[in-house]
Amino acid sequence: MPAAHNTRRRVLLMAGILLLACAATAGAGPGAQTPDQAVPRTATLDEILKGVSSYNGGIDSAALWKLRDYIYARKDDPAGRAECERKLLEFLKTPAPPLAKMAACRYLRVIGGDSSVPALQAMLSDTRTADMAIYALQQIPGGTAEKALLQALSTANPATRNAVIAALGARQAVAAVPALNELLQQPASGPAAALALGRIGGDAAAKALTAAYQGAAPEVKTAAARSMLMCAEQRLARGEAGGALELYEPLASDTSLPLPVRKAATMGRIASAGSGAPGIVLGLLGGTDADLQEAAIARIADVFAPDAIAPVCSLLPRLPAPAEVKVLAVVAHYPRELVLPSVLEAARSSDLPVRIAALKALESTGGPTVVPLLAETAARARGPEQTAARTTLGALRGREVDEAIVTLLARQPADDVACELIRTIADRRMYPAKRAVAGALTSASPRVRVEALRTLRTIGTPSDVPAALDLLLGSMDEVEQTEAETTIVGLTQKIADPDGRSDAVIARLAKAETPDEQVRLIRVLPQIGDASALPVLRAALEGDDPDVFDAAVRAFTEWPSSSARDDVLKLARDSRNETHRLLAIHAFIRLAGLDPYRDPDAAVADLRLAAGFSWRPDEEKLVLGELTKFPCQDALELAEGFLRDPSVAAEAQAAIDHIMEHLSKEAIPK
Amino acid sequence: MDKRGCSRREFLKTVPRAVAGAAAFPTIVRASALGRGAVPPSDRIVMAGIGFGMQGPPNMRSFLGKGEVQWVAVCDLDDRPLFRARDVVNEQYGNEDCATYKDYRELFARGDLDAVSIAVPDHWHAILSIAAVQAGLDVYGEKPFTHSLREGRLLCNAVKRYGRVWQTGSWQRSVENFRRAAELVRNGRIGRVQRVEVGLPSGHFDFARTFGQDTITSPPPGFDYETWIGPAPWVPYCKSRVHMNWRWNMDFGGGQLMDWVGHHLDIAHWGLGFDYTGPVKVTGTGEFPTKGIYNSPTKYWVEAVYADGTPMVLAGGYPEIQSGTTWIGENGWVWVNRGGFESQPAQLTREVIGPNEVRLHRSRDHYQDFLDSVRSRALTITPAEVAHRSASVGHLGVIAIETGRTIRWDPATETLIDDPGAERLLSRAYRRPYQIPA
Repeated sequence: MPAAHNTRRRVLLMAGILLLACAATAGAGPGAQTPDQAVPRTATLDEILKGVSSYNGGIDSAALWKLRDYIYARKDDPAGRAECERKLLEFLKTPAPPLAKMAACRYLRVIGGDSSVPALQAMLSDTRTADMAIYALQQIPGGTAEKALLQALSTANPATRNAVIAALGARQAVAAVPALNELLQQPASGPAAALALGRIGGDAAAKALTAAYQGAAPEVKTAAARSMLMCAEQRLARGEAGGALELYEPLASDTSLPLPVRKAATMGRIASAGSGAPGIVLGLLGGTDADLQEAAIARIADVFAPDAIAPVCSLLPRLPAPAEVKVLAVVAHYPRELVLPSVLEAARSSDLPVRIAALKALESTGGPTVVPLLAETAARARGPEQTAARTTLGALRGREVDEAIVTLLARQPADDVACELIRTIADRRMYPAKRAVAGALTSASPRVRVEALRTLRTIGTPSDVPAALDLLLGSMDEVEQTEAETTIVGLTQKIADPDGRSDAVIARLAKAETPDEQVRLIRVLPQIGDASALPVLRAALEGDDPDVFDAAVRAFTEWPSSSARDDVLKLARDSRNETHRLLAIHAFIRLAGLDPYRDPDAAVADLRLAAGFSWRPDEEKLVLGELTKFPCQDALELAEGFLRDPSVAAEAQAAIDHIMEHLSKEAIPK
Repeated sequence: MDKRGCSRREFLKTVPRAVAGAAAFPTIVRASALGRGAVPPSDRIVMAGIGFGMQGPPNMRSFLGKGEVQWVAVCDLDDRPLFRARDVVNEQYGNEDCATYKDYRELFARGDLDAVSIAVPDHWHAILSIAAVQAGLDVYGEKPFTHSLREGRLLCNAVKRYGRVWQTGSWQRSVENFRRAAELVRNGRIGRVQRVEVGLPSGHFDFARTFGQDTITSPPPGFDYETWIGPAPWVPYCKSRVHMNWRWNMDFGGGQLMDWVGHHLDIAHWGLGFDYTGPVKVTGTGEFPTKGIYNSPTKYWVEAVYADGTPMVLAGGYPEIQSGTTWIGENGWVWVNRGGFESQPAQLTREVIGPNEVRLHRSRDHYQDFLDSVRSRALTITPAEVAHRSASVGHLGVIAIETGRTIRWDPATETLIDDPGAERLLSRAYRRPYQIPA
């Protein structure tokens, strides 16, 4: 190699070594710091604002966060806050784009004071900066900001003026009332001025609004009316009912106003009328205007004392149905003895919504005497009426109601009524009524028996299992048998010791007299899931009766936990009955994947076994589905083995993709 | 008995249960096929909806399933969800009668509506809702109630002034377990409540799958972005900023904290009997992104104390605060979440609330509860005031986080105590030409 080339190579090598040394030094710990590498310097506000000045509303917001941190660290320190304010104001004078300046205004909203006002006020006259100026100015407290806004009323363009008006309203700037009063007459600003006056409130504002309302163009008139409502509310809150009435009365009768305004005014009028209020309400209720009726109904509770509701009740039957529904909802909160007769009459109405409303009202007005009515309605009605009756029956207060339910049930009412009463016992959690319900298990009516079974799930105890077993074994009806099974399972779950839950069923199985009884009892065991029953099932497999054998096989294949794994495996491997074999293979696959925290290798080994038993694509697809729960190398290999079979290739590929995704995530260092 | 002459059990003996198969059902059944004409048209509640990005469509579908509702119109600023919503309605009724609107004022001016479902970004809640009640409509609105504390009071007042029915989308109250849990606490089953923990989600979730789509572009055709921004400070359009993911920007939403106060904090209030009050002291800390277009806290810890001394923690991103609502009392605790209800002692969850004890408003169907109230004019299970009080705790939490101070609050007068700095954060100015209507 030529000497010059060698030299160049040596120089390059030395340079490379030097570079590496510098890099190493830069990444070294504190002990290796050079004199220039101290703790990173906190950026100055000028530097931060320079970064902000290029903000365009996009993703590059790092400078905004620095600005926030800088200002928030100093906002509670007067000197720091003043410095921030000054810098932000200087920034506003720069040619930075609007979005950048808005960032500054966000913080002037938080920290700005009197010294910010001149700059912000100047920005009001520029449509590009007016919004951001108001964003800050509206929230700066004190007279200086308020004065600036007031001044802007006469200098700003119409769009900005309305925003300034809104700001004054939000600030409840009383000093703005005279200026806003003048603006009421201007079509472009009138509605905004009316709105602001409403928010400011007070007598001067109310006076201005009243005058404007009387003479204004329609859009200002409506706005003024709305604001008069607000002023009236304020008077009412101060106890000035007379003053409130002065504002409400003209609005309530002005048919040129939108209906919602008149209704609101009517409600207000009633609220302000003092001793005259009941008369107004009754007059409106008895009238023909449905909308004003609604306004009157809204005030009944405020106007009629608990012992004075009789006149309203007497009007009930004469009201149109929609109004009667609303009034019933109100009187439901009045003393029972005063309103119950009216509610009961409404419960017999020919109008469905009225009956439903009455049934709902009975929840608070009814007592034990309404139990028969509710039970019969619940039994015979359908849809929302039935729901209302049932709900009320379940919610009626008082132990006497419980007693009335049990008493009525003891009189052996019609089946449908009995069922409703039994259902209600569950709804009300009437545990003391358990005996009565258990007695219903021997009713001649299948419907009643089924209802009793269902209720026992709620209020029954494990001591009710024998009676439910009697029903299970004695019934010829499949629906009833299923209900009995569910009840037995539910009751046994209340036994604290999980290993003793099947005891009652096992004991009964030992006494079973026919294969059919054995089958019915065996069917319950997997639903209970108590592993102590497994030996019983194994014994059943040894018997001669094919139905019992079939029941035992199915019980194993439905077992809810992996304690039946070995039994299921044996069935999958050795059954000569194809149906049993398929059931066992399905169950084995299910059990393999049952516990997501299981050792993946063991789970995959079981799935490999299951795959070996399978001869149909359906089972292979099940295996592939379970494989994805255990993403490991073995699972991957097993899934890959299925790729050759076109009937499951797509599922195999999906499983492979899923497993690979998990494996690759695990490979990425955290 | 099966019609083939053998019992169901005997039939199943012949085939493996797993292959017995499940019937496939059509997923949409025409209303007429279900006999929904049972309620005469004149008695139906006429409804429309505004906002079909995320919660709007499921709300509408729930109402469409009610025979007593006649849905007549949809309104959205974006053509795609607007026309999708219209098509759902037309499919339901088997006609093409559903009207579409881009401007809610035209919708409200129809004159035939009884109620409206509003599911729009938070920054539009107050304007739309107040306009709706002023138009004489009952409202099914979404949580949080409003985008600022002051808006909330204005909306509450408007609902009351115009005598309107309000239901908030705080549907957990219509789920049995939540009510039962709250009743247990209200009836003293755990003794005096010593502490409440409300665990909420953290971070930012990519609902719209638009994370990373941050390039500033023109809005797509058919989307009125200018109006969508509405009263909020203007920012340019990028896909990740709008539709569902708007909630991660404090100009439009309030992050996970404000998204969820209307659920688990609402339940906390229900159990405590604090529906019409609020805390007296709030502190908070939060962690925020340091870049990107979202700025709502990704992790937060808010502590509130109520007048009776009850302390509450609302936290997101702190595993020690279990998701859901937990009331811890002197005699035990109750925890409830979607799909979970536990207690100590364990048997409390099966405890009977006696006939003479406090029984909370029972609703099994949040939408039906609203419709029932529209007819009866009774309060819904989550009326405006309740929603406002739930949201208020969130707003105070945000203010506490922003100021870094202890916020002292008078819930009776809804005023801050000696904190003019925090006062500035109770409301925001609106961008021209938008104004709050009340």
